[in-house]
Amino acid sequence: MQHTPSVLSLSGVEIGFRTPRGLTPVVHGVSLEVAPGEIHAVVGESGSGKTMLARAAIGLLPPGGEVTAGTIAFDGRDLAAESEAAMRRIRGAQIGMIFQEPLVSLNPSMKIGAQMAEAARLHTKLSRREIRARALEMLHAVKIADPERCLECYPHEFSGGMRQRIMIASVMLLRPRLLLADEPTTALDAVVQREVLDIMTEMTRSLGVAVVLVTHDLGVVARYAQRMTVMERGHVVESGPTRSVLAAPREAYTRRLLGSLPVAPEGAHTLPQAGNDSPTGAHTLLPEGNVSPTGPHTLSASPEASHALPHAQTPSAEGQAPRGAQASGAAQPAPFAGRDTPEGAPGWPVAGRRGGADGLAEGPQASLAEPDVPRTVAPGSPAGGALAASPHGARGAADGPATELLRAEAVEVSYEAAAPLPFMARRVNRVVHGVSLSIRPGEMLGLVGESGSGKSTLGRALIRLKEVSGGRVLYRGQELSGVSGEALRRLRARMQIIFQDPYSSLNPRMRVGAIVAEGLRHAPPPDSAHPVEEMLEAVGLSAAYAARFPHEMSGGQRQRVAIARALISRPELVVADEPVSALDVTVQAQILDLLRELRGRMGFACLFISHDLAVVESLCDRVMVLYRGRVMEEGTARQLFEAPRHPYTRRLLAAAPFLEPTPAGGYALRVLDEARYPAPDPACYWPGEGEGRYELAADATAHAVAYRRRAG
Amino acid sequence: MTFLSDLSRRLNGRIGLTLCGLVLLAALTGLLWTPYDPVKTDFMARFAGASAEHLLGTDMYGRDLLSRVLSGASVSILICFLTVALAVTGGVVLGALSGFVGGWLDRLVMMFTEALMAFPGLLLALSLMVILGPSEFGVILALALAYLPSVTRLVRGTVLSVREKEYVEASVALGNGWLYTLARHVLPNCVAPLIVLATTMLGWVLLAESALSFLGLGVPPPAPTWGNMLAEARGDLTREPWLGILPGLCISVTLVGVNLLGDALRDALDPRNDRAA
Repeated sequence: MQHTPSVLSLSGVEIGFRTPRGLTPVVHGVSLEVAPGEIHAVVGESGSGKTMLARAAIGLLPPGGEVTAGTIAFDGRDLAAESEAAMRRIRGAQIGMIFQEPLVSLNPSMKIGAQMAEAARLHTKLSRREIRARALEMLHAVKIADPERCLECYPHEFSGGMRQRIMIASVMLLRPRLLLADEPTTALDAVVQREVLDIMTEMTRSLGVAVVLVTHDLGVVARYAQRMTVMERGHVVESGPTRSVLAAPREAYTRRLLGSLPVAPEGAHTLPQAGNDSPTGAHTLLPEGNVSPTGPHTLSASPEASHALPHAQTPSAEGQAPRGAQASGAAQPAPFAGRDTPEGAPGWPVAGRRGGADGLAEGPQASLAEPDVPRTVAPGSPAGGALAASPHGARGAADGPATELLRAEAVEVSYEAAAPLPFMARRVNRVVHGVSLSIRPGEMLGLVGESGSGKSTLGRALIRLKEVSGGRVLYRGQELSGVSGEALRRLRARMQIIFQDPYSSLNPRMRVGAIVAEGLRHAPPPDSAHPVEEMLEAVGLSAAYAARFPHEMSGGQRQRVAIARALISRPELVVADEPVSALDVTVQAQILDLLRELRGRMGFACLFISHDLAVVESLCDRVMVLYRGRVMEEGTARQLFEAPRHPYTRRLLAAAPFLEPTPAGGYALRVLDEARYPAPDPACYWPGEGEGRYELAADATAHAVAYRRRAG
Repeated sequence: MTFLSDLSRRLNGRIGLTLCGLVLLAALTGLLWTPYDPVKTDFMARFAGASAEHLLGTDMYGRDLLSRVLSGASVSILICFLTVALAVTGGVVLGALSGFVGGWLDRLVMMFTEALMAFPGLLLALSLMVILGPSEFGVILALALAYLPSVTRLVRGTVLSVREKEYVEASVALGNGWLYTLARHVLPNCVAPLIVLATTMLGWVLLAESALSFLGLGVPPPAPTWGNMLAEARGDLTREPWLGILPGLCISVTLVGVNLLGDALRDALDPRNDRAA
């Protein structure tokens, strides 16, 4: 690397923002070199200054921002010394930039061809015909199916991934020497992300273009970048060849970043021994086994096992006994008997009085605090044990469908698009096609799929936030669509949802206390005098947060509030709709830990919707793969990740770059052991393959795959 | 009280409060006491300039201008505020129901508002005034109806966008009824554009009222309103511009005050602006 002159060379760059109160520095003394043909990743969480760095390199800092010290040299020329006119000649022609949001970075009112030609006309002396030829060549290179037609199309006719490819084509058209890619695939699904990044890598490598890849995704870095620079709050933390940084991270922050990655539970990568996974999924129902991140799966399912764990040592054990007994006794007369009987009700508030012992029991989890959050559950605080009651039902529920919490039978969900003219028939767009599933009490079911697969819609339909248009949903044997009025309200308190975006899921005009308290409006009255404060402490916020407004909190803190609101009514089922995908990786890890911990204490069942396979693997007992509104494969997390049978599942797995810890203490890309996969079955069903119907066929280990149904 | 102090901490709030306070004071005074009878003519004192006797002079009929401005304030302000209050109330109810409930109700409401909007607001008010006959009550009703569609449409649009927010869905998921959700989660987040519209509307109504008065369909003369004072001054504008400037100034001051107050109110009601000075 030393002898090849760098294309981009930053040394001691400082960037600050002018505010009325003076200069606020955002980037402090950053130096980095990018050689031709090299992909250099700049990694960091939001607010680390990585985007500012990339923008400074092309001289496009947002208003108020300026480079206050250091030099940015492009091809040996100091960019600060260049005039604005010279910068305009460099931009586009020699430094290209790809933005994060492909849906807005192309002008919707211009044809692709005109847009691609625009920069070429500006920067080159090529004739119209030569430009067109080159555009076609580029579109061909980014694997656009019909380049000729593409030139005549408008951006809205393409999907996000296609648009990002077109973006790459139009940027590369001018053969820039440096490409700045600012989170180019963050808005895209894993499969599409892989396609786009593969194409980008291929093109830049063959043309010898230097790339600065700004990203927060360490998996992407590991797969594509030769060198990486880790940034934290404007400082470079660590820099070097990607492989060696990942294999042996030197700095604490890098290690923390890597440590925040979701990691599969221990032992997940040894193939299951026959019989280990019983049809009911013993793996699924192990007490506490999946509560801690390193959850030992070797624990037996005996009730004693749970008592050996910290939580169960609480003096509230006597309170658990009747609950457990009740839940396992399948002969509940009314669906909600567990709630209404006197024995069912106590549990959490009563346990809360026994602070000391419970607080200590929290020890193992107490080390995961978000830096800006007061410690989760202070040892000895009364709230420490407030929620420590044993999960009702979860323990004794291993037997039979009678203890099934939620059951969906051939659920279909459609959206109706407005009719083009009044009084005409509405167009119906079916999003979920006949999905059946069941969730047992206390179980964590993962639902994965790319965007548009209908996973969020399905999640909402299961708790009747969206009406089903076919099939039925049964909650403890009661059909949901038949419930209305007060009964429905009470039912809603038992099925909750956590949304993806904590910025839009909290009413900005309400204080946190009021937001959380709303969760109790239709729930049975809690026995505690301060349920809101206790709940806030249980999610790792101090009671003082009750007086705050959502905008005064960070994303992670807001998501904690959303969790508190969902859990304060002690629901039996929680739909978590991508609850961490809007958060930074370290915050994401904290929220996932919190969910695990709370589930361990409160025992709710959870439908965890995510596009992030690594998160699902680390968290879920069972996983369903959804594709175009249909279930492609279903099984335990281990079955799916170790021995995926459906080609779509394999494609998903192959697309997502997983980082996993190495024995040496570092991290490396997980190599999929495709050789050990069972041979692909040609009878597997693909949506869109004719109008063929399909069925899920499960084997003895409850591992189900979608097959084409034979005619007749 | 904290709310008022919050308002007065902002510069626009302070100015707005002061100006609106002045106008309200004038209106109140006009209601209770004026130096002269505002409708008493005195042909010996036509177009009298400012003097100790008539602080602001007299008009073409020799009526005391100060008395007319004060008395006009009470009439104009009352009409304005009642009109806007009526239009906003009706518009919020219609727009919120239309946007939140949707379906056939939405269609019905939108048909109604679109039918109203097919006529220019003033024309609509005019035809209503012809039916109702000139009276203060008639002016309020006619103008409120004329401005109802714009409020309805604004509220409906805002409700439609707020309705898609996840906190609204969360409220439904918690078991809250739709009316509660609408009142607690949707409407409070629609307030900002509504305040802006309402304050702008106050100005329109002031002017529309004067237009109606000018056409003889507003508040029947000789009762003074700023609007009809402005209208009456038109004939003598070249001879005595002051007659027009004075009510015009009153209207402008009121509008500036109300708009500043509206901005401050919008900011003060938004918890996100808590720290703003």
